[in-house]
Amino acid sequence: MTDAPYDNNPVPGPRDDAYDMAPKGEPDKSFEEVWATPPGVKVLSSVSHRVVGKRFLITGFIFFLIAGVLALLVRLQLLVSENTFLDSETYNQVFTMHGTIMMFLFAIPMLEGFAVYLIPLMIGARDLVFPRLGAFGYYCYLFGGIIVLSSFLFDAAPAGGWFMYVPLSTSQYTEGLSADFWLIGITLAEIASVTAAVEIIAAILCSRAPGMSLTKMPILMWYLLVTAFMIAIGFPPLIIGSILLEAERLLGLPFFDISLGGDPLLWQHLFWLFGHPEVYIIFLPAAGMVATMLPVFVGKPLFGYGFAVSAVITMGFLSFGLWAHHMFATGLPIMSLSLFSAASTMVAVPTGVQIFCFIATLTLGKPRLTVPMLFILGFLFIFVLGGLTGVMLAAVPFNLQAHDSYFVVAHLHYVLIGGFVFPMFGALYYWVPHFTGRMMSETLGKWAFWLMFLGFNLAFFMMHLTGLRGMPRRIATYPEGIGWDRLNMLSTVGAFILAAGIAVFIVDFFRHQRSGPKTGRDPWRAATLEWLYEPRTPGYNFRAIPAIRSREPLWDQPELTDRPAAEVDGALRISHDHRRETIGCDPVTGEPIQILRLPHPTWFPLISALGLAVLFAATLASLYWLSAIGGLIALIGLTGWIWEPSDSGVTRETGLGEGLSLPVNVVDRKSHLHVGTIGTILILYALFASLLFAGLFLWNVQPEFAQDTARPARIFALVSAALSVILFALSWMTGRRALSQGSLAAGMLINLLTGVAIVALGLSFFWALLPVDPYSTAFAAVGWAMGAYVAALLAVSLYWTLFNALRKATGNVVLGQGLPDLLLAAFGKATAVMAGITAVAFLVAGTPQ
Amino acid sequence: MTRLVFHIAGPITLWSLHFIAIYALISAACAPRGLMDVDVMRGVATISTLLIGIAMLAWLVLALRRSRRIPDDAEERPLAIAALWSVGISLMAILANLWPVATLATCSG
Repeated sequence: MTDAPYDNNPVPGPRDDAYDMAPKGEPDKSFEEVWATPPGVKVLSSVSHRVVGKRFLITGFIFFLIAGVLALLVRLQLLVSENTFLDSETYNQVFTMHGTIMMFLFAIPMLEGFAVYLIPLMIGARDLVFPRLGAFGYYCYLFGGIIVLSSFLFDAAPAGGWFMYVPLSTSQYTEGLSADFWLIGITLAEIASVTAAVEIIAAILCSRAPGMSLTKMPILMWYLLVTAFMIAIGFPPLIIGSILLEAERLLGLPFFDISLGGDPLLWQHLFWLFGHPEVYIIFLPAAGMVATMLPVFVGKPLFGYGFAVSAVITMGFLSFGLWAHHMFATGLPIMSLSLFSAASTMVAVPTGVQIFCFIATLTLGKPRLTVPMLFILGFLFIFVLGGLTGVMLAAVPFNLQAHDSYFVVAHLHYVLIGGFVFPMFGALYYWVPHFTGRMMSETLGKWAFWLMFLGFNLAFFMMHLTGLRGMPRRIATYPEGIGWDRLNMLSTVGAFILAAGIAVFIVDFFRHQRSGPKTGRDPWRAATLEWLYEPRTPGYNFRAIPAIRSREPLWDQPELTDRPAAEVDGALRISHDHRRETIGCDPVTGEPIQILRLPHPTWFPLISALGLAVLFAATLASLYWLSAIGGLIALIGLTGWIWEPSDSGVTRETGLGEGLSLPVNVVDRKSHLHVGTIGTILILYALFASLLFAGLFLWNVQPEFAQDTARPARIFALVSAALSVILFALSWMTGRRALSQGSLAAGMLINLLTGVAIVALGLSFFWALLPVDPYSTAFAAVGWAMGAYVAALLAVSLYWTLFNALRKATGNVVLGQGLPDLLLAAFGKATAVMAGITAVAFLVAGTPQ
Repeated sequence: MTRLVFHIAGPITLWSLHFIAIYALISAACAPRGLMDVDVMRGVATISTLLIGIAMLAWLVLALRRSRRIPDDAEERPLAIAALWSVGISLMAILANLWPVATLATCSG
């Protein structure tokens, strides 16, 4: 703190820079106005993380209630034997939509909502680093969810289970559009997940407060970081699987057609390569929230921060080695089953390490039994039981006995409700005061907890017994007198008690907004930065971004709490350019390296998502002209989004240290944009690897069909490989020139040469594939799918390189603003590598065997 | 600190590569194409696991020595602990990968 009189809006001094006015600066607005949420209908153009985060949470919770009502319908149907409340087709639709909505439209979006809302507040940033991407992801999720839900209106709700197994979900066995609603709607909603992954990775690594090294990050950030990497790698197999299945339904390509060398197990592999990590993707952020709240109510730091970090990272990796334990009954070789059984057992080790960290933290002090704390204890009790039945199910012989029985239903609900829903309600009780500025009721909260806890255990513990007595999953009714009646009735009673607990929460939520006591600063006596300001925190999060010296800053740094929060010293108090800005950091040490310029409210994310929604919905309705219009709208939206003046090339004073000045949007590999691009490339590699896996799988399990498939033209495969090397070299040169600030004319020339190489490569791939009939075998169809994927990457690269050339030609870029080329270089190199691998694959496939 | 991040992620990345290798070997021997004899596959899997296991054991010893060198109040201490546990868990997981190959003589048990 300086001795000078406090000035909340200091005026910046004169400067001499490359430009006097920041592009898109709003000099007529004060600092507060720059960060204000637009009023009225313009609120839809808001890109603020808190607006978008709350939208995710509210929409996710609404989907939770819808799926919950569907669950109650299931339980009503099973209340008594021989029930005729729902016919079997409706029953199939109800349980399918229950699972689909819970997994895709509730759990993942809720964790995204918490992440989007909390990350900047907890790491000392004013917003996420890609706010428009967050808004775009939300709208994709919303429109995707609406498409899935609208299937009820057309009496075409999916009925094949939340996993959409083939061949049941192929056109042959599921006529009409029900499976298409699922595949198209869920794929659109998944865009939100993968964009969130990029957003989370870049935000946590690149925008922490000065001094917040990796070891000073709140533990939740580790959980979210690992989760984001898992989403980036885990979601692509399902996206590829969905596209292949939709292509089979729409175009007749035989990916899963056994008569043409396809294999239904390919779908199961792709689905569960996503599906099992998905469980951990849901669980880890919830566990991270527990690890955040638990120390607050114990009054001591988390026990074993390092243990927890190792546990969450190893769990993230190990969870990818378990997918086939969902396929134990499909006839895989016993040796494969044993491998997955061993890996499934192994994952209990880091999970146990983490649970012991929680239990050890509990022993450090006398816990305050608040409502969030009750939900944490509920989580520990339920999740540990679910984990134990998980270890049981990891044993192949037991799994074969319990397969597709209610024992599995009980296990998965113990894991998911225990591992996500209970921590989520604890987190809602904990952070709702931050959202609304008012406290919820302790009394009603305890009622909600006990109703949920008792109701849950009554409903689902019984299902273990029902399952052990042989009741299969997904049956619409059952005969009386075989030992299932009473257990089912108790489960239904428990489900309604659980629902009553949730109803109490809803009543309390609406009640507290009107009459709940107003929240003071840091109502829970927490240690993390989101509680620095009085709820509700102003739109800019931090008037000045404080330097961080501790993992529990509000406990250990008195200078943060001994004065009004807006007067706390820190970076960027002076707003030079009337732009939204935050500090960018070194990903490891947390030392500040740049000033990040953030976008102001804009309609482009909404326009782009709307265009995509039209594209997807029109494809569903077979209105392909409308699909083209939708695609065009999306392209216009995205072009408007990225066509904006570059902010790089200048430095500004930060207010840190002895007049520390930092570059704006630094042209460096540690830049948030470059890190975000690397995250995107990770997703692209995972998509590519999924296709490669599909090809190798079919080649291995259907050798006769692979042998009968026509060969790609080897000469063009060879040319493609050579052109891939050229594309890589040109992309490398683009990156070098961007970093060394080479001349614009030379840069433009390289951009154009890159464009020529891309066109040549695309044509070469086309000619290589020309002899192969994609309808002849599944193997051939996968070859074309790989070609189409590489073509899509090349199209994006071509658009990007021409876009960058055009910006240089029109004077929209000046010397030193090389970030777009640096990003293009990374993308181009990745495209070249994937094109090269594809070319080699075609070359090998084209060689007579 | 950057090196410690590598030491946390490195061992478990090695586990993933080993897992993929074992899965690929089993698939090569047990799928209809029959690329490899089961006994050959078991030999390759065992030798590669032993080599990786020895490397991981050395990594574990180094991680242990490093974690003892770093004082309790040092900023990077939590990462050193995390690196130690990561290599320990990864070593166990790599040995678990070998389990089916070591205990089953044929693809069908």
